[in-house]
Amino acid sequence: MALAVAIVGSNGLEALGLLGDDGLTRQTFAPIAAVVGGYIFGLGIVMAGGCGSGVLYKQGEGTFAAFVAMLGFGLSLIASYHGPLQPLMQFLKGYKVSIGTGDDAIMNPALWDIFGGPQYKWIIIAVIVVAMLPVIIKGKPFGKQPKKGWSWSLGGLLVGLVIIGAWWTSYQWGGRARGLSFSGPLAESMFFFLTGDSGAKNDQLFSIFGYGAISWSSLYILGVPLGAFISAKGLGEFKLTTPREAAELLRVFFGGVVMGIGGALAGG
Amino acid sequence: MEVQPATIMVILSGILTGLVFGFVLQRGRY
Repeated sequence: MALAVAIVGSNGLEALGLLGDDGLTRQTFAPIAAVVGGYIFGLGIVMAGGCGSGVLYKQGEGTFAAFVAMLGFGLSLIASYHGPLQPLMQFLKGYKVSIGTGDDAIMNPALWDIFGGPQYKWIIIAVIVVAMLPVIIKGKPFGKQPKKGWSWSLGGLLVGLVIIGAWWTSYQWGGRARGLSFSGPLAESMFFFLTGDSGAKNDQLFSIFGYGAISWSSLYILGVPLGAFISAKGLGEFKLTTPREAAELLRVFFGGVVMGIGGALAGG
Repeated sequence: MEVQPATIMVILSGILTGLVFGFVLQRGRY
């Protein structure tokens, strides 16, 4: 649901010219890095008990294990972007898919470039969204509502809308349309707090009251646990919890480390 | 790229984007 809403809305923003001349900045497709990184990231999620945004919002519910997972996640992200894992990342990201050669080559092709170009953009998007519909309908989006919180369909719709909004806000105030992601921005946020510089190579950096160089994306990383805390408090679900076993803490920490390697490799 | 002073809108829009997203994730049980 979130994906369907985000795909249509984000491309709609671009089509309306609300994201400037560059529009949605699409990454170059590096298939080996994406598949291997995605697989590793998935393994890490299971070990850590949450994905990139998951380990952030669960801290807002008082889950100490999520904080430990975030530390492992952030450390391996920084090692991947700035440290000893960087050569491995660059090697695996070396195989990239482009279409055409010479001056006309498309270095970061979208799906519609395979089928002939941007004139097919909305046809491809329509096909993808229609293919998603059976899955969405099977989940009974208007079915029984939970006693607390929101239904998956309302949650998904709102996640999609926030993703669309983030493309616009990042363009308006962050220096470029970057949208929401968590691997790169978490590394930038932690790097800022460790060194005073986010180390974001492709983004506008800002000084806070004359100090340091922080990226816009680092700022929303701070907001996620805060928003989850407000929600959890409102539902009476905030509770400080910690795993009873040290082995559990080790598992979530190394789960975070595995997630960071996978996330950095797969493209953030 | 030259570092610019963060305006109040840069800080607010950044933190509020995360805040709303965190709120939605928690309510939606993501």
